[in-house]
Amino acid sequence: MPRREQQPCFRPLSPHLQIYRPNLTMVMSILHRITGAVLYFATFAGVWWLMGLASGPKYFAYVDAMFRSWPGLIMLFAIMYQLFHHAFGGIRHLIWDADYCFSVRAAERMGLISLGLSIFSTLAIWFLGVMT
Amino acid sequence: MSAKCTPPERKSFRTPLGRARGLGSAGDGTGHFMAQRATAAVSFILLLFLAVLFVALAGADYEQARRIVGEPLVASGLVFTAAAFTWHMKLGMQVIIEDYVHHELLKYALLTANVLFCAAIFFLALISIGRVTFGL
Repeated sequence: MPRREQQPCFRPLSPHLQIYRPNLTMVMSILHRITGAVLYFATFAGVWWLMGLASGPKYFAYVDAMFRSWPGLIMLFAIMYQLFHHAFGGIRHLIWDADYCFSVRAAERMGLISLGLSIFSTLAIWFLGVMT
Repeated sequence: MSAKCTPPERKSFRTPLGRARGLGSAGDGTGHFMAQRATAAVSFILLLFLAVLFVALAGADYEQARRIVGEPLVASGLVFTAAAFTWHMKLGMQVIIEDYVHHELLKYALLTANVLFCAAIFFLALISIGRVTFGL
């Protein structure tokens, strides 16, 4: 008897990600975790700015220049969007935790609303910042 | 993998239930769940504060930025934000590690690193804000 057949066979335990066609709530859920993980490391950018501010004008000028450079601005914009995405996505989860909006329609609508709010908030805060 | 499935060879006389007992629920986690939600709600409110602060700081030079951040209300808000964010980060990353890392030693190493990273971010923020506020 070949050895392979004696090993325990790994039958699928439950349907997992790869067998589903992506849908809104699923993608939002995955993005919630990804943005959370990215923001985890992105906090260092905020702390670095604070360290620059605390260190004195010379080092602050360097930090400030980095943030105002093109890569810095793109990174800042991306972080800001992800902050809002994770925040509004989180509100959805709090609503679900409170036992509301479990119907497919309501869940999908909340997904779209949170997406719209994150895009709007990011653009609004970004341009308010640019204007001043 | 072939379609033919033979049951795994039994290496011990313990029943599958006996082997699984005690490996399931940690008997703890409600506190984690509650803290994650509480820090989430607080963080959301603090994000609105951060958004206003971002707009205020966007056009500021070094002196202005130092004056704004040194303001007691702003400095306190920033320390509060650092506390809420880092606590929430610790809880969230812990779940991610527990979900995906199944190697025992690596898991505990990462769980420890998680706490240290979040603590480091908090202390760096705290000391920087303190230095700006107290003007050292």
